[in-house]
Amino acid sequence: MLLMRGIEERAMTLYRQGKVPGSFYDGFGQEAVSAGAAFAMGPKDRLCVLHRDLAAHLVRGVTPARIFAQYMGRAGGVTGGRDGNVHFGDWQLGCVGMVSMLPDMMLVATGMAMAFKLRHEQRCALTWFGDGSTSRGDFHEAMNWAGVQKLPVIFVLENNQFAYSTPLEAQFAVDPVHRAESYGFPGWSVDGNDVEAVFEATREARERALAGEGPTLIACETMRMHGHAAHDDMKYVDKERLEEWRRKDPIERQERVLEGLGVDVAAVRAEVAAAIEAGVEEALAMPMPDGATATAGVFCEGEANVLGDGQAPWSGVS
Amino acid sequence: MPAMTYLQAISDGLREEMRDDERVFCMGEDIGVFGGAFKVTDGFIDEFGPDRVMDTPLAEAGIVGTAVGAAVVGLRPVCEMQFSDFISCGFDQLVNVAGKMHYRQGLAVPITVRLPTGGGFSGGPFHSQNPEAWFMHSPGIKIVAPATAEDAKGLLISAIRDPNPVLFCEHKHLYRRIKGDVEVGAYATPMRARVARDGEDLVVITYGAMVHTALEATEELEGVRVLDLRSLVPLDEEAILDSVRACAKVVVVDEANELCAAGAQVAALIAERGFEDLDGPVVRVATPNVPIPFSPPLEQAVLPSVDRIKEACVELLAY
Amino acid sequence: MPQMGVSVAEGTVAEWRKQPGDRVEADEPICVISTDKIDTDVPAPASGVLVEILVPEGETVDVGTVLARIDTGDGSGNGEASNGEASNGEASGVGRRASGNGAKRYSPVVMRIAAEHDLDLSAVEGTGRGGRVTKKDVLAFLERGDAPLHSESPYRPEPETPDARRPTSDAPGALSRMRRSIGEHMKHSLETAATCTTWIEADMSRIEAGREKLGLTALPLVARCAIAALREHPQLNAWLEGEAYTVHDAVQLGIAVSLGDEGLIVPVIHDAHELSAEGLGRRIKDAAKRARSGELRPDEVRGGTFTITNPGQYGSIMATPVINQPQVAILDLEAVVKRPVVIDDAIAIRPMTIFGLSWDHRALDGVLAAQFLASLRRHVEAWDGG
Repeated sequence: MLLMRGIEERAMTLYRQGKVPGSFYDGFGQEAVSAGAAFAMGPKDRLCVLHRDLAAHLVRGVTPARIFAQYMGRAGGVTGGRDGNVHFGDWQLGCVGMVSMLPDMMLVATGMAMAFKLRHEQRCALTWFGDGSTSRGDFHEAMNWAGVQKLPVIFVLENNQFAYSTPLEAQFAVDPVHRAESYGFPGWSVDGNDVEAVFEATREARERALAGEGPTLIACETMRMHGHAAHDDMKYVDKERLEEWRRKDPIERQERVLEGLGVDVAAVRAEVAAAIEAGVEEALAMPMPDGATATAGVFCEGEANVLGDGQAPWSGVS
Repeated sequence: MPAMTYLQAISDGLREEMRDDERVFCMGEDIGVFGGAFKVTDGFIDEFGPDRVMDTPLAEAGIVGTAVGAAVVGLRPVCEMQFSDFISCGFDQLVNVAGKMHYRQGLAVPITVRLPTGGGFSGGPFHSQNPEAWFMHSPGIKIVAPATAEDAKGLLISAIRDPNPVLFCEHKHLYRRIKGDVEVGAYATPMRARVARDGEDLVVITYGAMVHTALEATEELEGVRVLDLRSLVPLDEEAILDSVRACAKVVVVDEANELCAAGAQVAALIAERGFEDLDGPVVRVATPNVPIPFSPPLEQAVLPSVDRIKEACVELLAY
Repeated sequence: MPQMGVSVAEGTVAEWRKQPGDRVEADEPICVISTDKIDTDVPAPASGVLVEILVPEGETVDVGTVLARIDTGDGSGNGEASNGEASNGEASGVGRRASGNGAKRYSPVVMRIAAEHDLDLSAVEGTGRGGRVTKKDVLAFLERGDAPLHSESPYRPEPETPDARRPTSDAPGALSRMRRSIGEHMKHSLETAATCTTWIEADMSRIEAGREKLGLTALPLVARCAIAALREHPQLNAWLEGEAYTVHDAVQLGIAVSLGDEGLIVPVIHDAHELSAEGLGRRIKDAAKRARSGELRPDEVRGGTFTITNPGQYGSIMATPVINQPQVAILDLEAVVKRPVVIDDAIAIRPMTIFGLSWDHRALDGVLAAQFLASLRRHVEAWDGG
C-alpha cells in the first residue's frame, strides 16, 4: 500500500513536470482494495486489474522502475509505450491489462474462470471494477454467465462513491451488492479501507471458488480521495465528507496495527522511499520507444503465448 | 475426395480440429443439443460433450469476452454468432479487448468467431448483413471469407490455428447451395487470394458468395478473370496487383454496402499502386447504402445481381 | 416448396395428406415436407379442389418449385407469387465522361506503354468506345512491328512462365509457343547462372519400402527428404536476381512435369515444408494431372524456390539439369537400379540411385552443394515414414 501511494505521488510530480504524458489517474485512499485482494490470490490464479489497483501489480511482482517507465511512455514500460497510465498487465505474471471500456474485463475474467472449470483446474480468476460500470450491460452479462455456469471467479466491486463526478444515487437504484443474489451467488459488503478485511473476504471467496461453489461479489466501500484524473479538482465533493474519509485512511490504519505488533514502521517507510527513488532513476535512464516500431506487433506471429504465473507472497495459498 | 456442401465442409473442418486439438471448443447460442441455427454443430454434442459444445446465455459480448479470457489461459475457442448481424452486440469486446491485446500487451488472443453472413433469402435488415468492413478498419483482427466448400474447411482450420482473433465469414446463402470435393483430413488453406477463373481482358475482384455470382455473370464473356480474395485481412495485395497488371480493367464486387466496403480498399490500392497498369476506370458493383430490405423484389433490387455484374463487365470491356 | 430457413435450398415431399379430387380448405395441412433442418406440414395456400400433384412422395425439389395445383373455382388458378424481376439499378455508365473526347485521352497503361516504347499514340487506331486507344490496340500495334522500340526501356519485361496463355497457331515446321518459351528459358538460365553439377549415390531401400507402404511413387518421399535437407541448408532454397540474393524460409517446391511432345511445365507446391510425404504425393499428383489437362492457375507455376526434376522412368541414371531461374539449384532424381554394393565388407544387393544437383556457382560453392547432397542421402537412407 505504501509503495503504491509513494509511486503514485512521485508520478504525479513527474506528471506536473511534464515527464508523464497524457492523463494521470491514481488510487489515493483506495490502496487497501487492490493490495488486500491481490494478496489473497495464488500464483496460478489470474487477475484483470483496474486503473486504481496499482498495488495488485506490485503484489504480482512488477518492479517500480517498469511502472514509472510505463507512466512515462518509455520502451522499458510494461506495454513498451503502446498504452499509458495503469492500462497494463504483465502477462508473464498472470495479469491482463484493462481497457477503458468498463467493465469489459469482467467478461474476460469470467472466460478465464470458464477455462479453469472446463479443464477441471483448481484455480480462480479475479477482476476489479467500479461503481459506475455496474450500469453497463457487460456487468450483467458477466454476473449472469458466471452465475449460470457457477464459475470460479471473484468480482471485486471498488465502490469509491463517484464515477468521475457522478454520485451513487445517480448511478443505481439498488446497491449492486444486493444484485448478486439475483444472479445466484452471494454478495458481501466489506470495509474497503481495511486491508485485512478485504484480504479475508477475498480469501474466503477464493476458497468457495476452488471448492466449486461458484462466484462471489465483494463490494468494497471506499472513497476516491483525488479527482478522477489529475485534471479534476473534485469541486463536486464537499470538504467535510472528504475530511471524514481522510480519518479512515487505510495506510494510517494499518500503520497503527503494525505498530501494535512491534513493527518498525519508520524503517519500512524509509525502505519504500528508497525503492521508489531507485525506480524513478532507473526509469528515467530508459530510452523512449523508436517511432519506427509503432506499427509492429499488431498481430501475433508464431506460437500464441499464454498468461504466466505471478508472485504470491502470502504463504497461505495452496 | 468426398463431395460436401459448404456447410458440411465447415462442420468437417471444425470436427477435425476438435478431434486433433483438445484446446479447441465451440461456444454459442443453441449450438449444443439443437446443433446451431444452421446445424453446423449438429451431432457434435454427442461426440464432444456439452463442455466442448457449449450452449451459452444469449449474450454476444459475453461470448466474445469470455472467449478472450479462455484464450489467454490456453484454450482455442470457436465462437458462433447465430447471425453475423449480432456481432454488433459483441463489437466492443472484439475491437477493444481482443483486437488490441497483442499490440498493447504482447498477449496473443487465438479466438475464431464464425459469422454467418450475407443475404439473398429475405432475411431482412437484421439477418442479411455483411459486417466485415467494420472490422477491417479495426487493427488486430483477421478476416477470411471462403467461397467454396474446399476453402470453407481449409480456411476455418487456418483460422482456428492462427494465434490471432479471426473472423470467419461464412455465407449463409452458400451453406446448402454450393457443393464441392473436399479433401479428407485436416488441411490449412493459406489466407491468400486465388484465381477462380483465368482471363486477361478484365478481372472481377470479389469474395464470398459474390464469387459465384461473378462467375455466372461472366461465363459467356471472353477473357474475364475472377479473383477470389478469400482473405480480407490480410489482403492479398500482390495477387490483386498481379491481376491488374495482367488484365488492365477491373470490376470490384461487394455484396456489402458500398461505402467504405472491402472493395473500396481494393479500389484504393489499385489507384495507388496499380495506376500505370489501368486501361479504364475501376468499376464497383455493390449494395447501395441501405439496410437490406425484406421483400424479395426490394432485396433483389439492391443486392449485386448476375445482370448488374455482367452489364458492368460488358461496358468496361467495350471502353 | 417453401423455404424452411434461410440457408435451405431444397426439400423432399414426405407425404401427401390429400389426393387429387379432394376438397382442401385454406391453411389445412396438405402435405408433409422434409428438409435437412426440419420436417413440417405445408398448409394449403387457398381453398378449393386439389387437381394435380406435381411432386410425388419421396422426390426432392428446389425451394420455390410448385408442388401441386388447387382449383379455387374462380378460374384464376392458384395465383403463384411472382419473384419479381431483379432491378438492374442505374446503368453504370463506365467512363461516360472520358468517352466524350475519346481519342484525345489515354489510360494510364496506354500512356506507360507508349512511354516505354517511344510511341506516337496518334499513329495507333483505337477500337475502344468513341475510338479510344485501348491497351490491346497498343500491344497489337507494337506486335506488328510498325513502331521503333526504345532501346533503354526502364521497365523490365515480365519473365515468361511456361504457361502460354496466348496460344499461337503452329506453322508447319515452326516450334510451338511452349517450345520456344522453354527454349528461351533454358538458354537464359545457362547464360545467367554459373551452372555446375554434383552427384551423390544413395541407398533407396528404405524409400522403396516406405513408398510401397504408402502406395506412392518415390518422388514425394525424396521431396520430403530434400525439404528436410533444405531446412538444414537454406542457402539453396533461394533466389539470385542480379546481385540480390534472397534466402527463403518457406519451401515453394517446383516439380517438373512432362507434357509429352508439347514440352514441360513446373507447377509449384506452395509451402511444401508443411506437408507430409502423403500430402506432397497428393499435391504432386493433382498438379501433374491438372498440368496435363491445362488447368493450372498462373499462381501455381510462380514463386518456386527450389525445383525437383524426375525423368528417371526410362532408366537413365544421370543428368545435368538446368536451373530454373531465379532459383539457385535443381535436384535431379533418376532411375532406381539394383546394384551390388559393399556393406560392412560384404557384397549386398541394394536399390541405388544417383542424385544430381545443379547449382549456381555465383550464389554458392561446391562444398555447400556436397553438404546438401550428403544431408539428402542421410535423410533418404534413414527414412522412417517422414
